[in-house]
Amino acid sequence: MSTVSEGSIHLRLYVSAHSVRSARAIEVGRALQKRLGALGGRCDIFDVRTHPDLAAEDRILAIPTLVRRSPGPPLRVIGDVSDLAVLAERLGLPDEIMSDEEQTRR
Amino acid sequence: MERNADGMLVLDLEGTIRFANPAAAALLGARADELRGVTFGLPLRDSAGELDIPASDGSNTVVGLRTAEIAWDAEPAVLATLRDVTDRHRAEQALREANRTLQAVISAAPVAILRVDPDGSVLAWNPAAQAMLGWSELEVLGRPCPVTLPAVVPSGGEDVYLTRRDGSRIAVALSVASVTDERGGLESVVVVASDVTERRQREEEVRSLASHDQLTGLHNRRAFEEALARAAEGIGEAPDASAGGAELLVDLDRFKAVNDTAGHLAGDQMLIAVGRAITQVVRPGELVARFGGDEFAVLLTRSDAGGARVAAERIRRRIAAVSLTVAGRRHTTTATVGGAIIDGSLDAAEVLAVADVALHAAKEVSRDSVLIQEEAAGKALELAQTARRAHAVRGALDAGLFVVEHQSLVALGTGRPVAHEALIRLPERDLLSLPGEFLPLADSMGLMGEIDRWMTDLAITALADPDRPPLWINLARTSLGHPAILEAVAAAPRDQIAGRLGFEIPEEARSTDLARAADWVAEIHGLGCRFALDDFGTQSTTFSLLREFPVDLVKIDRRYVRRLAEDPIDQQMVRAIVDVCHSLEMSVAIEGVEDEATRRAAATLGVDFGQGFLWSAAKEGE
Repeated sequence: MSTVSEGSIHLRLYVSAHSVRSARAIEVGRALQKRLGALGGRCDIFDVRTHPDLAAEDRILAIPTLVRRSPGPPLRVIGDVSDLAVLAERLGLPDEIMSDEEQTRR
Repeated sequence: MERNADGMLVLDLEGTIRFANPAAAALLGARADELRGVTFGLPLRDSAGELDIPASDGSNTVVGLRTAEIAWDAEPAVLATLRDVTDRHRAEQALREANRTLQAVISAAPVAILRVDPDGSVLAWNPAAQAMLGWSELEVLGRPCPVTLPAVVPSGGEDVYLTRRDGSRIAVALSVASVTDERGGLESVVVVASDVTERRQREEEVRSLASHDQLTGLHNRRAFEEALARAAEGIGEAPDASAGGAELLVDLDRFKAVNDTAGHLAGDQMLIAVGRAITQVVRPGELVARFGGDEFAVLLTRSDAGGARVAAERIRRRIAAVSLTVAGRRHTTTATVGGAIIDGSLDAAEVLAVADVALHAAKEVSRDSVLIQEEAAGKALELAQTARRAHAVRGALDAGLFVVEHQSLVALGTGRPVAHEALIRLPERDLLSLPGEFLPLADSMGLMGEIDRWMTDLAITALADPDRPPLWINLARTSLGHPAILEAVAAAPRDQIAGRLGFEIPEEARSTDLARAADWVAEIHGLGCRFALDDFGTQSTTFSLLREFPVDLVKIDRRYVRRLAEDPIDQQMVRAIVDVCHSLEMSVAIEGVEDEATRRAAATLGVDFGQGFLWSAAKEGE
């Protein structure tokens, strides 16, 4: 269970829309947008080709990268982000970011 | 570590870079010292799959990422290994694209393409295969192939028949390719099948055009003769009483009347109806053909003379029942049928000829009748001889093989030849047959017009030599009025024939024949040709002919010549003929002069010309 205040969760997901390797990440990002939105948090998804300034600001080296901007100090996960249980634990996110099924399985 | 081709990063537990080897720096597009302190991030698992590393120039590098926990400066850390897999990805992508293209081609191909594994299970099945064979891809994938494929594919491009889902059969052209695995073993077999039904149908149509009569849809003469030849040869090779057959020739009686009174379209309708009528009463598989004109032929299988007679009768009665109403008027027809038995003793041409003779013999007896070649051996032999001769006559006419001999016509006063009579001979088995042996047959075959035209052409050609004496040709009674003869004469140079070409009309030509051909005779006479009455004196009516027709020469029948030297009655007869003819300005000739006494008697009686062995036998014309 997370200790972080849910309202202040802010994630950024950097992807490349043209890459098959980002496809799954974009899917996860959309689920996170929806579920975090319901909790008052947010997840922005950026294509590094259309937002090179943001990518430079966050010094993104590899795609996909998921950045936790708040709460707490910046944390980032690279590569496959589809295991939401591990992701929640690593980034200190509430269980609600998982689907009902994933929560039950847990 | 720095020389490793893989990129290596040492990350702290926050994902911040503590160390980067040159390969990692190169992959990430920065110097190694610049990377130190930059947060790269950590993967959720040790094997994080693949990452894209975008470069500022827009290019992209794909790397495989693996991580392992290590100690770095006595602190727990993570070693991340980055392997450049861009080339592999490009190759895979190219392969995927090639695959997609191949899939599209296979899907769009108008030919059925299927792939089966060595056990016969279906691995691929394109839409054309579904359309052609009836099973869908879903139904067959992974299951035993529902279509039985031939164990050996014909290499000569012959058709293969496949059975479709609905049980129907389809003709296909098949090609097969083996797909081998990396070790050279058989992995699968690709089968490509194209539907050739349409092509075969077109070929069949073309074949049909060549072998069928366009009006009636029946087989034509050529196709019939081929089938007849096969039947005659087949039986000849393997004598089998049960396998005999028969040929029937069916000739419509007075068909011309339908054409003349109701028009050609009605005539055509009648021919179609008759063809259908015949087809209705023969057994399945028996060939019915139209020979052209109003003649049909039927090839009976498994038939003896009795069976042929029954079949012929059935056809005759069925045709008599055909009626056609045109413009309110009902037209009927009857048919005469002649038949020949196919038992291996005659070849196809002989069978045809025998049937032809039987047909004409039947017509002689009565129209609307049937005559089948008799089974009796003697009659069959006679018919066979007749057939061979008929074949010889036909062949001689087609190939111009008749031999022509000339006999001199001599002026009795001077003893000098004044003309030649052209006499036709048929070469048969090293002998020359005389006209009496084959012309009646040729006449019954309706060939006299053609034969006499051939003689006329030959005579005209011979007369191109101005030194040659005039030529007389014998005409058959049935050749009188034949347009082809008039045509030949009219086309010849006038000076070549005028006063030099003569036609002998046989005594048996009745006055009605001559009356019918009066214009024709007058026209030829007008072109300068002469006419002679042959064998004069055998019929009582012929004196009147002398007044009615432009006769130049009268040839007295041999019966008055044989005993002319001693018989006073014959002498009186000849004198009477000479008197009449001379008063009509006609010349008189006698034939069969064999001795000097006869010659002297004839000369004394005023006969102008003579012919016979006294002067010369018939010699082959040069």
